Amino acid sequence: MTQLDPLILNPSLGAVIEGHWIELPIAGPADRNVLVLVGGVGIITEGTLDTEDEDETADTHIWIETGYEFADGDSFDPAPDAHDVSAAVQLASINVDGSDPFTLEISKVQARKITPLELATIVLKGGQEGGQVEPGPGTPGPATSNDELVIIVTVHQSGDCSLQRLGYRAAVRLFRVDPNRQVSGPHGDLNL
Amino acid sequence: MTTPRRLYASNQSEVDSAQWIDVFLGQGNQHMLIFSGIAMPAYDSYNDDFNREHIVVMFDQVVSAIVQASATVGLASIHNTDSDFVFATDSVSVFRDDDSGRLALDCQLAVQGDYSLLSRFSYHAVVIASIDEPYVSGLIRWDPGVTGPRSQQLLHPIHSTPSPPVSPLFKITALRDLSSPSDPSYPIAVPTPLAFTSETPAPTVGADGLHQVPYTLRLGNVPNAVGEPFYLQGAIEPGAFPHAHTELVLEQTSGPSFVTLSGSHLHEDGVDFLVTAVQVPK
Repeated sequence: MTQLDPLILNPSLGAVIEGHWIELPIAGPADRNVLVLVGGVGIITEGTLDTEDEDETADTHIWIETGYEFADGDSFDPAPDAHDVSAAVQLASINVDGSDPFTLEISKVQARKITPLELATIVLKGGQEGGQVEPGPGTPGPATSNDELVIIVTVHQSGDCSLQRLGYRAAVRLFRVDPNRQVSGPHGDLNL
Repeated sequence: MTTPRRLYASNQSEVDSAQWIDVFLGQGNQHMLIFSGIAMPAYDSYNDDFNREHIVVMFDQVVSAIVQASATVGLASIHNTDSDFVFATDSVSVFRDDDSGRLALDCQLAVQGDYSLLSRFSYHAVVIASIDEPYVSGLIRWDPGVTGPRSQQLLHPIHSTPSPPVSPLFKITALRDLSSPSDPSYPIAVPTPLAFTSETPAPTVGADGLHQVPYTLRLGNVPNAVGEPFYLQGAIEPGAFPHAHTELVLEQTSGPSFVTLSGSHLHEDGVDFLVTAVQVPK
């Protein structure tokens, strides 16, 4: 079994296309005042998630950097029973050789906040372990200055096929110290 | 029309990574609910026909009505041997199950191939729905030894003579102290009623031997009932206890002195009252 872990899709390198988000004020619950909605498509560089035949399988953790950076002091509870986070991912583009059996499966999805340090550590660890840490050649993109929203997807595949794109949507309910402040990021500031 | 197959978001063997968010929009009793997850219908095909399946994903959230809804579904897990194939998520919608009041996602799938398997599909639904209404509830209790017999029998008589209308015994009022606009230079906080209830359900006898009736003060259509504090005031209706030998008052015995309802705290239960005798100073 081939283990590619983790694969990080970084928006600053064009790995996430049409990434976008909405921030809107909410009236409750009492300790939450902002809702963030994020969506986009994560691109996987050609040849990265390929399997060749039925006997070859791969299980991959894909970290989709959405490009959404939280404001200082933003807080929410990532635990599932806190109901602050929701994320969905779908197979958006696949390439299959129809003459062989294949399986492509998204088995787990979660969204969470990641610090720049944690992200850098994972990028470094992934590089050391032989995993591909970014879709394009070269080094990881510019480090973010704030915590970022990432979507972690567990993908299983086998057969002569490749996974090329993943569509994603996520929502985060959070408390912001200054709810009137909207955040900016590599895909633009909605305040503009 | 086939009967849809139901998958339950609360069952991890039927829906994986099920997540939901509930936010209060600050408008009436409307909430925005966001659902996501991976449904696992494991629907397969052994031929070249289009095989269609109707799936309903049941959520746990009970709502009064759907105001608006938007949903998407997409392929999450597919498998095929060496045949031609089609995997399709043909349609999706959100509806309220009339029997349970729960929200649900309706999805039509299609699979073709020998052999093909649509094992999973992902969903993301955003629903603005009316959920419940704010209220305050509790018990009103009294000791017959203190109050004496009630003025009338609240239970229906056995013989089927028409029962006269039952007069309420108690009145629970929600109030907020608002500044009087009559003289801005000399503001006076005036207790201003928001809502009241005068229900008279049949009393029961509690474990402590006291008689009790439940009450519910509904605040669904009361402006600013949610978000701003108010307090409750209980009153005994005239003539409720005509045989009492002392003056009676209705005092709050549990629950907060000031009730503040919010989107995540629409109900304040356990706000109880007790009929007590006024202590006359000697």
